[in-house]
Amino acid sequence: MSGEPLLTVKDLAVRFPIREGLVRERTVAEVRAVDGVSFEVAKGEILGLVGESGCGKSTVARAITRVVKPSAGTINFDGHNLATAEGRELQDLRRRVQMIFQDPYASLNPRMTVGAILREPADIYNVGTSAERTGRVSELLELVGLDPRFAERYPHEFSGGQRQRIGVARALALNPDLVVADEPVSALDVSVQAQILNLLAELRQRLGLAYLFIAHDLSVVRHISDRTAVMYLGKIVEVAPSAELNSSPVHPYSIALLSAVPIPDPAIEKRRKRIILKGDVPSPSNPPSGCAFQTRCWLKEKLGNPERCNTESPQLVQVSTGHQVACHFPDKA
Amino acid sequence: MFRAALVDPQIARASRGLWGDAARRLRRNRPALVGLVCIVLFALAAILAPFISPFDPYAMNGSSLDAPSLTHLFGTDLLGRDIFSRVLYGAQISLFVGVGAVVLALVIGGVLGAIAGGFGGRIDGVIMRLTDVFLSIPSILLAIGIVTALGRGMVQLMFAIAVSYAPTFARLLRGSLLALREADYVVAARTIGASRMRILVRHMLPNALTPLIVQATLVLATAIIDIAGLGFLGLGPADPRTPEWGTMLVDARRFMQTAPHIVVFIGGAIVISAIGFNLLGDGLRESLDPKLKR
Amino acid sequence: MSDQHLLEVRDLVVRFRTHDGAVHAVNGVSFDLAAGETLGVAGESGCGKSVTNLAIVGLLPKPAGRVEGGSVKLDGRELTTLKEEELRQVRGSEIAMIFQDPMTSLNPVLRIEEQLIETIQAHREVAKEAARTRAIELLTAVGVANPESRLRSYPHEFSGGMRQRVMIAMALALEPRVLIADEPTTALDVTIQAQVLDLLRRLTEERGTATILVTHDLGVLAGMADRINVMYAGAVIESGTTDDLFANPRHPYTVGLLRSIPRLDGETGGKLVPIEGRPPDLIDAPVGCSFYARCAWRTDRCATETPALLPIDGGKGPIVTNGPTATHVAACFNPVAPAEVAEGRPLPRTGGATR
Repeated sequence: MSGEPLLTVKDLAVRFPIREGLVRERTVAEVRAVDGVSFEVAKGEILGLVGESGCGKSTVARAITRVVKPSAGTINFDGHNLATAEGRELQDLRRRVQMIFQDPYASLNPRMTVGAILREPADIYNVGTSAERTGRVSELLELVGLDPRFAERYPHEFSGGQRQRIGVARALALNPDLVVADEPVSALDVSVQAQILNLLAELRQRLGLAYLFIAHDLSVVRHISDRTAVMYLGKIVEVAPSAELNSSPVHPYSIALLSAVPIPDPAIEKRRKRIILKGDVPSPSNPPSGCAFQTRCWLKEKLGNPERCNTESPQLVQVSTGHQVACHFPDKA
Repeated sequence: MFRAALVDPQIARASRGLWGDAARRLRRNRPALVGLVCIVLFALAAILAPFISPFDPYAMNGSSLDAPSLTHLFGTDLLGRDIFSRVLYGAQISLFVGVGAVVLALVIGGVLGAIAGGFGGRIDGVIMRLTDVFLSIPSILLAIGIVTALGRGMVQLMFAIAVSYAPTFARLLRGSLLALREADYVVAARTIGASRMRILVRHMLPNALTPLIVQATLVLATAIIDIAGLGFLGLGPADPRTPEWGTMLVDARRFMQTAPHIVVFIGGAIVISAIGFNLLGDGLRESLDPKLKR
Repeated sequence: MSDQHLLEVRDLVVRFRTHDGAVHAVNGVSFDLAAGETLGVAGESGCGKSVTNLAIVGLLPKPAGRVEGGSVKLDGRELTTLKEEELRQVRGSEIAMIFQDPMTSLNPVLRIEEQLIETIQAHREVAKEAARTRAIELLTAVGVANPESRLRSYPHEFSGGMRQRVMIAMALALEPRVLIADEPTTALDVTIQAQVLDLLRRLTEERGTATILVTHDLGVLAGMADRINVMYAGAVIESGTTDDLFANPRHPYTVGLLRSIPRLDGETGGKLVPIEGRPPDLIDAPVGCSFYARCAWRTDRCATETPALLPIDGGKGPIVTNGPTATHVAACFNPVAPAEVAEGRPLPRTGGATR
């Protein structure tokens, strides 16, 4: 880990109750979207969070930006607990933690001009004079590589890539310390993805931002992040420096995930051995006992189905510096 | 354009607002244009009635039940009144009562819907059960009941129709607002720290209004028919001589055999104005939705 | 190599009529497909790759979309002039399709059983019992566990990956000779994608089905395709065997695509080389090279003249259109030099005008 932590998440849990009943609703079950997640993001660091759909990575993003309220755990941001903050304190923290969304078509209000969208944060916090706010809009547009004259236009007049730039500009309007980017490029065409990834990397350099970069695409996460955390069914199963995770993954799920990512090189593709996982991800409303991955784990099968995997939930343990893994048999893979 | 490389066409082109875009699409929608023409005719008839009607709609100007002629374009009724002039003045009443009723319904329904959809919780439940009660009564019956209770008159008519449509608007707005709560840009506004009121007014309401505008246009069509219907049932304006289309139709009905043109002209006026609003409403639905854009 | 290809597409032109004018969706696409071959089609959204396929099977949205030129021949039989009834017979029994979102291709109110049996019986005269047996066989072949009981399920009871398996079962029900898979794994998670691709590869190999695999993911094509057509703005701009294309890409757009995606085996934190700008609006007839506006290799000639798809080595011999010896062709006046590929940008050339 580099530098002092900006964000420290400890045992974060987000559970959504499933309610039933016509007259008096009662909770019959709950979806454990995030089930005891801990990680840190240092100042100026990019932590990548990867996992497949339903693994809870977006819920983590929503808990940290306080779109949803965590059910348990702490989110320590620069000395404040974001998990429980309310009122004035929450308002002040929101300025410093901003979000970039996946769908550039859904994340901009179609009835507001780009200028109004980018001005709104300053309006809310009453930053500067009216002229200064207008100047700030131009500045933000230039910062993300758009013509300041675009301020008068409406979102529907822009392409997906341009809209995503506007979304980035909005997130930067209040000079945040941490930007939570939830699948910021997955809705974009490949040639445009690179533009946005380069922009994000460049902004981090220039503004000293820290990102929590969430994506399902391992190649993208590995490219941009300093460290990568792999999530499965509401839990983090492995964290490591990005290069190390890629070269020597330890958790059987990480290994399978990495082997499944196609590489645009026919020679390599022919040589590669894929681990094809069986079946689908279990439902987070009814997770398996013991290790969350045990129903699909190829290593468990190889080791003759040890009982421990069915009964005991593995904790994150250190295997080398900065490399943690939650598996009972980290040395067997 | 393939060539436009040196000057970014996006910068060169002037911005079109959302409304500009919608207007552009509307102009290409033939049925909507037909509807618009009908409405313009209808509105012109209403506004210009005092200037262009050849005769006083209340006065006897000819013999009874004259056939259409150059003097009396639509002929005359039993009392020798010029039907063309009466139809023009009738447009005024329909437009005034119809638009008044829809605006009133929009205000009542809009406020209730915004409170229910914007704040949710207990107040939402109360408002929705209330609209359920009103919606379970057929709107024409409800209107009849209200007019009967309040007495006959234009304002009463307007109010009766407004009350019977307000719940529809309330439900519609609430539904759109609920769907918008999870929209990314609404979530984005929350992460910025916008207040609930700001989110409702700046982000949710403007985006929930389109279906309301469309619905209001369509309801205007029904309202015009309702006004005529109530008039036909004898619940129209207090003065039976008033040139209200429904009331006129009652009188005309007796001469279906001998002077069918009277029914045709009055009915035609009702149909044209109602169809006009219907076609325009459908056209608006298509052109106001930015998602349907190519 | 036989003289007759299984599928022969020549100069296919497709236009869409819209309020704003005609959209030139496909502008003269030609390719051949032989039995047992997998042709990959790469390109970004709106490049015409899906429209080409819809035109082949006569499923263009009517009345807006129309084939305005060219021919599509299946085993020498012209498809573009067939009547709807005949086309329906071709679809399913000769050419089958799989789409990105299986949910839109499955009827949500019918059990899987009814849909599979209906598909089988629509094209083959078999008894219901025999069709049912066949349905179970198919589900087993695509790796659906407990096929007998799963037949009684509705589409929403399946996960995304399972639904795509059912779609594959349905597509293969009639042993088609050509399978068109349009972004079949784009909506799926990567581990599920691996399952489905594995299945697709195995089944088409076993049956010798010729496959057109459309995807924006070059990684998927590297592992699946024998040959690749790269499409841009409604035209094929480069084509060759998968090995040739990845080892020696020549069109600036192909190079751009390869250089703009982060690779799992690449270096971390390096700068990607994006393709600046965005694809052209396909309204109005193209003038010059369609990639001109975004191209770093462009010259004045590119603005006015449209480059033809020619062998990259300038060879005069006959162009081989399919099989492992297919000629590598590109539509570019200033093809990218091998040294420039790694850089992703033009290097100063001696005697050549680059910008």
